[in-house]
Amino acid sequence: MDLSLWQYQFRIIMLGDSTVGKSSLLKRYTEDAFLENINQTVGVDFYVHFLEVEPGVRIKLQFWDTAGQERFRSVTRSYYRNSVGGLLVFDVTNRASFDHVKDWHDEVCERVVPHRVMFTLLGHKSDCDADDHSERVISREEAEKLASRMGMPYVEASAKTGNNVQEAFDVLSRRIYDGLLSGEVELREGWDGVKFKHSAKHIHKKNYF
Amino acid sequence: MYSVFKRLRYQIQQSNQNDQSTPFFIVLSDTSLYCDDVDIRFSKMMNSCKVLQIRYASVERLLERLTDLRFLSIDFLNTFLHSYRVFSSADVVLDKLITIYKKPISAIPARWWSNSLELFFASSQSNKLLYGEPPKSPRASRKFSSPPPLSITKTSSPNRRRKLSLNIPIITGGKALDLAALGCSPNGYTGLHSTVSPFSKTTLDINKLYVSSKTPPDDGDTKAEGKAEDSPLSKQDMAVREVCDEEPPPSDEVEAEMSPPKSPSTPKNVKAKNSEFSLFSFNNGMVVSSCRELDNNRSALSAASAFAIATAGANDGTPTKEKYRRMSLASTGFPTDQRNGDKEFVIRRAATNRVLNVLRHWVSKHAQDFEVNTELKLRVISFLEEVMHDPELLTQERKAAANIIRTLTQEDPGDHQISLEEITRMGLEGGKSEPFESHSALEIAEQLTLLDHLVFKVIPYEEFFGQGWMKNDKNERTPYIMKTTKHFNDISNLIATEILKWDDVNLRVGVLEKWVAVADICRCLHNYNAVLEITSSLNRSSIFRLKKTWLKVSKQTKTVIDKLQKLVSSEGRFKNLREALKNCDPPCVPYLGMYLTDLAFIEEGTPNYTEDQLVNFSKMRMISHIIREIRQFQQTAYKIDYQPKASQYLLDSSSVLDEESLYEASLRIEPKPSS
Repeated sequence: MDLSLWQYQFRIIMLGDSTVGKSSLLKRYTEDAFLENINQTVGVDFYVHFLEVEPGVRIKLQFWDTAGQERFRSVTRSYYRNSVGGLLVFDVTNRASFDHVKDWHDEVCERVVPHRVMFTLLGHKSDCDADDHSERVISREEAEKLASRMGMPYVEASAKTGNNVQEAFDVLSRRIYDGLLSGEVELREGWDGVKFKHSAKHIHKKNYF
Repeated sequence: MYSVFKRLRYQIQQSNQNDQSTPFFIVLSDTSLYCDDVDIRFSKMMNSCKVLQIRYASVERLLERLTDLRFLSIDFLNTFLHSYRVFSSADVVLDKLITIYKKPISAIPARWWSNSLELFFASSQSNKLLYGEPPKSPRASRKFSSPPPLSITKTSSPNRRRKLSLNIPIITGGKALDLAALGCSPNGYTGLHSTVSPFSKTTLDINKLYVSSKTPPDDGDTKAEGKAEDSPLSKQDMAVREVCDEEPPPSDEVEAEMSPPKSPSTPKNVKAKNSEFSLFSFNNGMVVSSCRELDNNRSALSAASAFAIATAGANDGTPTKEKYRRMSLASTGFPTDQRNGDKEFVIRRAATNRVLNVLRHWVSKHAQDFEVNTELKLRVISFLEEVMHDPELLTQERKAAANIIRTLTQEDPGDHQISLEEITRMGLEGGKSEPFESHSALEIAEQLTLLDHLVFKVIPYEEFFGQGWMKNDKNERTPYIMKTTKHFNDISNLIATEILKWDDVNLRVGVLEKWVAVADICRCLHNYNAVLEITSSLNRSSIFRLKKTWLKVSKQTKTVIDKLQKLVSSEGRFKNLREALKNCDPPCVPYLGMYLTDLAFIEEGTPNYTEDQLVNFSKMRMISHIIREIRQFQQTAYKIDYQPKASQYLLDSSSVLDEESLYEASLRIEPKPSS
């Protein structure tokens, strides 16, 4: 897709404990650009994905990737503020990662004031780890209960099979877009969570005709 | 298959002419260098030897490449030495080297013999025979054997190139005979092995091919390097020399004055194969590297010197004519056992050089391995002592072995820089440190830079494999990375604490602006880590939410903050920071988090082994490249004097608040507007 053809850019942050598989989910979602290019091009955003939320409205999703940097807390926390969407990820086989979802949520909410971050809760079946045969410990019901308490949708996905990965990001993007339309999310000067661009066609007309 | 050739040809055409490359025909003639197999698969990229990079391979194939006497790329060697722990062990690597040294002939895979190695001999002979009468001096020989590049370089005429490209796809199996297809003439002729007439067009074209893939030093030069009185090698040291250096060829006189070989063990049949040997030499054992690596890993290039030394030793002053006579005999029906003897000698020299070169590189550039593994160190020393006393070896080879032992047993002279432990200890003894106000921004910036670099430079490269810092046992697996992140967070907390401890908004502004000044000085010192320590502190919610404070911060300071934040922004995978790192000369403290993200990205993105249990060598290469960049910054120390006063202040965490307390303090000094 022509990279200049987008109307909105949403910044998304992946949240959750370090072993829940955030990067594999992202990798699965943004597949093509991934490994072939690392080390080769400086300044290329690999974690970028384009989607159409409705005919003619193209969204550029840009992900903050903090994998590996989690320990540099003050750095990763500074990414929160410029995000409009948060994918809260836990591992359905790991109780602790589920318990921490609330902490991640609160921490982000507190730190992004006066902005709002739109969330989606994602139960990750991290069956991608071959040497980890752990049993599921968080039921769908339990996760759905937490999600509704925090006022967000719940999706279960697997990076290994690719099952529902696309859907999870679609749900989140849709939610942000709806928030924009309803005024729940506001564009603000100096805030990078959402960027708006006139359509390329429009600019074209303006400049040349 | 067709596309493989197209690619090969294209890449050779495009390749940097300054790079030493493996002659095209050598690559083509050995299918195992580019054809995927059950135990090896190739990437689309070529290394500096113009051989396809390995993408996946079995451990055996990797070890085989390490000891492939035809070429050795420095990129492969470094990647291998950084990553072998992931798929093998130091003992296995050392065993392989010892085997190659002790039984070079039987250790060489049969398939090299069946095609490429044979071809090497054959082609080097026809290359010379082409010119009939032996040249009178090495210089002449050099000129003679180096016609201008024609066939496959960018400078070739369109006509020739077209013919060549028409011919290349005909080659199917990479067998020696197929080489004939490389000839530019469309007539088709005899293959190399059946070349009875040395003047056939085929050999002419091959010669051109070989030359055009970048002129290697030919035998005249190679011999000369070891012999000429004024050459660096005659000083009996294994001085670093660049592969591509053009040594002035010596005159006949120099050669004539050469004394008989000092080594009594030099086989009698040495004479015959000098020409073969030297031609063989330009790839064999040579460590070829890209330009950037040339600068950073110069000693690796001494492979070439070692080889030249061996060549010199092998040359016992045989008159040139005699050499050529013997050589032509060899190619026109000289008894095979004689030829085999020559080969054996050549291969023995090449194997010895390779083993010594790999060991030297391992010992000098990857010294950590031996510091932590005394057993390995002792094994290497005992092997090298054996080498030193091997009467079969040339003097120079024994000397090389002795040099490696010296490197290995040398007490690390160190850089005499103060260690972080010493500083911390002194801090504990020193009692309470002086407050922020009593240090200048410059002092703080300098001492922070010194400390940041001291913490950063001691991270051993093993810690960068396997994302140990994200695992539950991170403190055991990656203690130094943990120390670095802790230091980062401590400093960041210190900065926030300093700002938040003042109830008076003007004092807060003053402290904040001074830290920004520190950050800007750190930028000038190439301490990007500190730029992040400071800017990310200002971005913390406990600081960022202080509206009243920010209102009073000067425009100037805000501009500087903006500039610094852009520099270290994670946007575009730290696009700006990467650019700055690329353009900066060490000393420098990079932001480790950026590399850790890259490493996490690689580790999560691709497994260590394929489904059929081949080592994912592409992954190892990517990790190794990151490690090389990190190490480049680790190795150059700052020339900043330790100043106890400011350093102690930076390390004194007694009054530093934690995250929670910082936020509380923030709410206390500037409460949330009651809504």
